[in-house]
Amino acid sequence: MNESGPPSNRAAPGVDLRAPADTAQLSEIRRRVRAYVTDAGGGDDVADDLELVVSELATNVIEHTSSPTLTIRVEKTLDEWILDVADVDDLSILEHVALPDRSEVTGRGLFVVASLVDDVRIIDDGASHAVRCSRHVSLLR
Amino acid sequence: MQLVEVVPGEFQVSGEIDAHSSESFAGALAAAGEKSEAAIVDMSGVTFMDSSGLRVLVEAQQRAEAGGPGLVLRSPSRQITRLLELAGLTENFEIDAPA
Repeated sequence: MNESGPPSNRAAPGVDLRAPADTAQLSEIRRRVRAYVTDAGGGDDVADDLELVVSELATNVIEHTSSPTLTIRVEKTLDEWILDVADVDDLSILEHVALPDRSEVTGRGLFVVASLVDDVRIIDDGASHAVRCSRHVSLLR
Repeated sequence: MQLVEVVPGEFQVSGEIDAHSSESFAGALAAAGEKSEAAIVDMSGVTFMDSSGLRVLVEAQQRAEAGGPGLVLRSPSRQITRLLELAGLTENFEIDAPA
């Protein structure tokens, strides 16, 4: 996995991760995101939640897009944790995020993501589309 | 992910359960069900689980409801407990959480 900009403290810039779109990469991606959150001053609750969020979104890219690469950025600003996961080619995936019936086997990942952050949206950086999750730093859960 | 039988009918699962390991988890859980009428699965050693693991548990629970081997989840971690709550699935499972 390629990585640039590892943070060393709260004021450090975000970290960028690139990896093949392969489920074998998920564990390492989670570890890197957790390490960033911890280094940036996040507690276990934030680390647990963003670890789960990145796992769900990266899995979505692997299983439901044609992207050969996972591109992930996590950053702590003064008031938000921001997590971007690309490349998303289905721009409608966030339009109908709802908890499925309890008898349904699949379809809970994005609902769980939306439950753990304050905002989920699609962003366009000109070259690709990403799902951006934002969570207030001071939010108590 | 590893699932081992510690005593007859009681199994211990450990490691991470995600899209990479969920197929192995599903196979191991199905095999565990074939060994006993009701499988007690100790989840305390699971360090991470996402909705890929939920899918496997829902499938196993549905087999139980259809007359297959029963399923009891023992000592799920805080992360798994929260995931079940967020997904609205807590009441789907028999959860044994000894103090």
